[in-house]
Amino acid sequence: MGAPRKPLEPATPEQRLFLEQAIEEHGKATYNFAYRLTRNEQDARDLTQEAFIRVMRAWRSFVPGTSFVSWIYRIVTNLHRDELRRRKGRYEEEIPEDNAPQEFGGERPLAEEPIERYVEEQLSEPVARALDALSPDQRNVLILADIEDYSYQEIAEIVGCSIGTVRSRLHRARHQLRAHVERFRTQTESSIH
Amino acid sequence: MQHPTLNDLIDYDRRELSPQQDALVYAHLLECASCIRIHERETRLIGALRSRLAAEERDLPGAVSLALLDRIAAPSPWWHRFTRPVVALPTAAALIAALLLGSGYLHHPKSPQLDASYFMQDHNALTHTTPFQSDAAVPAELASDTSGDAQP
Repeated sequence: MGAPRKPLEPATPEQRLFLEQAIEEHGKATYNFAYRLTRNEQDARDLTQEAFIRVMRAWRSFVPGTSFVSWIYRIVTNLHRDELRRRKGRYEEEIPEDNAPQEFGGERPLAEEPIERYVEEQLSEPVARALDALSPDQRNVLILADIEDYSYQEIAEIVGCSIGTVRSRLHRARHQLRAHVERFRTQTESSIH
Repeated sequence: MQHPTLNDLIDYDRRELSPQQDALVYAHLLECASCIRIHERETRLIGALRSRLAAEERDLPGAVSLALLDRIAAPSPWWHRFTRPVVALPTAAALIAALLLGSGYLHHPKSPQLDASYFMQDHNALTHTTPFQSDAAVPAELASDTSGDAQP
């Protein structure tokens, strides 16, 4: 982000009205979604701006009665992915998908896992750091599932992948999140003592 | 039933299991204390995530809306650019300077000019071998004085 703004064709009055309404009704949600994806305020601003520009250009393709939020989340997701590709030169798509081995033992019986007690307030900071540490794809699916409460089917449509991919990404994201939280909590506690 | 996996519990929470699997996990959670604890731990983790992100929630910055509307606005007429202070002030200063220079306000007043004949006569007078002879050339300025009380 942060690239110079491309000059735009002036909007028609209808486009302008559509954009103003969209910003009014969904600007905050879109911006927060973008912020959760990028974890960076400036990137979130740029992403939000570009997403609404895309919305305005394609406003005629929006079908009334369908979810506008899902539509713009899909745009934000795609823009974010494009931006990551641009920054890295080549976007490193997550390899472990449907058929990938689970390195966190996700399929082990629950009773074998160590059980620890979490206190929500104590988790706040480690959780934030753990979220930052997730891959963009994992963070995206985790936010759509656990924060925005979309179904796997809806997430698959937003992200543009299969339901199986969504499922495995979410599982991995949860495992990663938990592992990072544990690690950050341990670091915090050892630095206190 | 065997203990469900953690992934099963995630799907169970999200109501993404088949009805049969859902019923099995539900029944298991009623009687398995260790699975209940793991389930609660997972719920707390996501609860903490939700709380954290809710605390981070913010309004869309006004600058974003303004920038958006600015980007799609119709272009202004060309002369509008001169109304912007950053352009208008230097332009006004340049115009004033040009007017002052053009009107000669900043020029020094000119010195009175001497006629070329003065220098010729002066030269003749100074270079004449006998300046006091009666037929010697008399500069015009001096000649005008000979008619009066300068006569011997």
